[in-house]
Amino acid sequence: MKKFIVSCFLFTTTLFANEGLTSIFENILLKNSKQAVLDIQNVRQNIEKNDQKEISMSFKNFVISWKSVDAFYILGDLDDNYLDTPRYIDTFHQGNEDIKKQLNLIIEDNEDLSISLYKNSHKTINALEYILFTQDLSNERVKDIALLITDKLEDNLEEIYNGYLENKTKFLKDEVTANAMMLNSLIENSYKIKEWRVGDPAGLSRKFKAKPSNERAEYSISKNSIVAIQSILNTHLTVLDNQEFPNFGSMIRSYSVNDELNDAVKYLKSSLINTKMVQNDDFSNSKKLYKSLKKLHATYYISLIGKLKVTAKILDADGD
Amino acid sequence: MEINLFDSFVGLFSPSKRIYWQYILSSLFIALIYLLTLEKNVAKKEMKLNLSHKLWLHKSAVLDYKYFVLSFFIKVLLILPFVFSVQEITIFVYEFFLDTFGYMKINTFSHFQVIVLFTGTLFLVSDFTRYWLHRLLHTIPFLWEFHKVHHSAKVLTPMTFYRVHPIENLLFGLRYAFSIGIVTGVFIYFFGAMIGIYEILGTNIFLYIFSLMGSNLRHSHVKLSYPKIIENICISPFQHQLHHSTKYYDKNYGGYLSIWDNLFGTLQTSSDILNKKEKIRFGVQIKDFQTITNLLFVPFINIYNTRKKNDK
Repeated sequence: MKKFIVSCFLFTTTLFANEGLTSIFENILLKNSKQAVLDIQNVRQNIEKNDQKEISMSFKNFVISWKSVDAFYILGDLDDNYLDTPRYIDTFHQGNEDIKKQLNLIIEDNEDLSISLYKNSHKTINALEYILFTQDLSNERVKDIALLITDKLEDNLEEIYNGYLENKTKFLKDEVTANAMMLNSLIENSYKIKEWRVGDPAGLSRKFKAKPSNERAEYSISKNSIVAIQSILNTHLTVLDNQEFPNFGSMIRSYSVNDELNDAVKYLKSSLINTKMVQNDDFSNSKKLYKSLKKLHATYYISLIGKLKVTAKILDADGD
Repeated sequence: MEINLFDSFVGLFSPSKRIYWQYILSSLFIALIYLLTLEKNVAKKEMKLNLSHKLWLHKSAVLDYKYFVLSFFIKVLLILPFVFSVQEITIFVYEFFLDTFGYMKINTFSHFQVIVLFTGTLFLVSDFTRYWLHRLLHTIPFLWEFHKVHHSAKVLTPMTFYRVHPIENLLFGLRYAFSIGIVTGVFIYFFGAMIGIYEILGTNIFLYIFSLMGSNLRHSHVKLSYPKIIENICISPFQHQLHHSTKYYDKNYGGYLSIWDNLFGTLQTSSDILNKKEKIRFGVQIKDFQTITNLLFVPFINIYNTRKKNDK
């Protein structure tokens, strides 16, 4: 009888876990990466039409959908081949090269674009932002560069979408590893958002203490940096707390880490409210946001430490 | 943190306790096998000694039983606060690394490899720090006064394991918090949520296996030794019994592994002693530690007297 009850319990928890993972896979990983593909296609169409207002709007939408992919990117952990794919899309905090200078030279040059735009960094969202928001799209060469970048971005995003599809079984079959990947992604992104996306431009990070500069913000040219931050926070909120479908939050509630989860949701919500204090990508008023993000990051890794239960394991082995 | 008081007290049902029923049963089984390998008359003699009521009801053994009950309360009141601090130390170490070196993630190891690495490192670091704290308890005079409590047992039973002065409990609690906290903090910094521990019944797999290998015979009169080559790596029950002897108490400080003793020159293997048929006696300053009150207060009195003497 006892065996039967244990089997039933294991069956239901496994079923619940699989339901959660399948839901995360379908409703977050696949859905977000597909949306990013659609949004970059939309940007491309608007570049072709050369409608600056529509370009700005569609680029903003693309920032939102790309950040929702980036904020919860676990494909690299699932499959090594996709470890670097986000770097081909986004160069934020990758290397020190000045792509603006390089892009200017390429625009002035007459060489074939397939040769000129040989670097990955030339075909990223950052390069696209520079071209779209500082250059004249009526110039055919500039327009061609923009279109070429969108094509490459679409290819890379399609690669992510297909990569997830390829690795679906791998993701679903090992709940423990999947949980670790998801938690890692949350921890990693909460650090990056706190230190890189808010701390650096606001002069609150260790690296740029008391040296604020809004130019360090992620999308300072198009003034979409705070939009990117909101997208990341909203993605985490969807991952941990939404009523529409089973999610990571509902999964980890079964591990009795309710307090930490509630705290994380609380800090996500307060951070989202605090983003409203940053107007027009001016980070001079972001101390409150930085503080709530700091608490969010701490809550993530404290819940991880709590989950490990390393305490009181070998205490009794002492005293020989 | 949730602590199961019943488990902590009874121990028999908790795999993290030395006297967990499986470890006792495996020790009994190993002892039986050991006795079967001996010559008939030697086995008979050893059997008689180990089953003797003179051993199990010896004044020293009875004191161990009483002290075991008390040690539960000591642990709850004195050790628990330090158990909590593992988390604090982990967070401190993680934040220190993050603030000093920025964000870092190692992707070159698989989830399985990271868990094996973490489980193994926890065990190794813990055993290493146990060796050094144990050695310091012997070599620093004022610490030795407290550790003497453990060495004052005239006869050894599995309960002698719990004859430890609260100050020593406290030191081991700190050692535990620091070693486990630092290792966990460093691993979280490099591997994040990929870390985990391989466990059997909720206990580190290495610890479980070593505990199953006759750990309760360490404090017994079953002279089980291993071949020299193994005794260079793992401490045999007899090697620990040697450590409890009046002659070799400055040898074999190791917990589960003897590699530290081997590395730092404190190893004493069994073969030389057994070949010479050297008689070993247990217990230091036995007369000073006859009651629970003695066990608790004599170390302080000794330290006070020594200081007074030195001041003169």
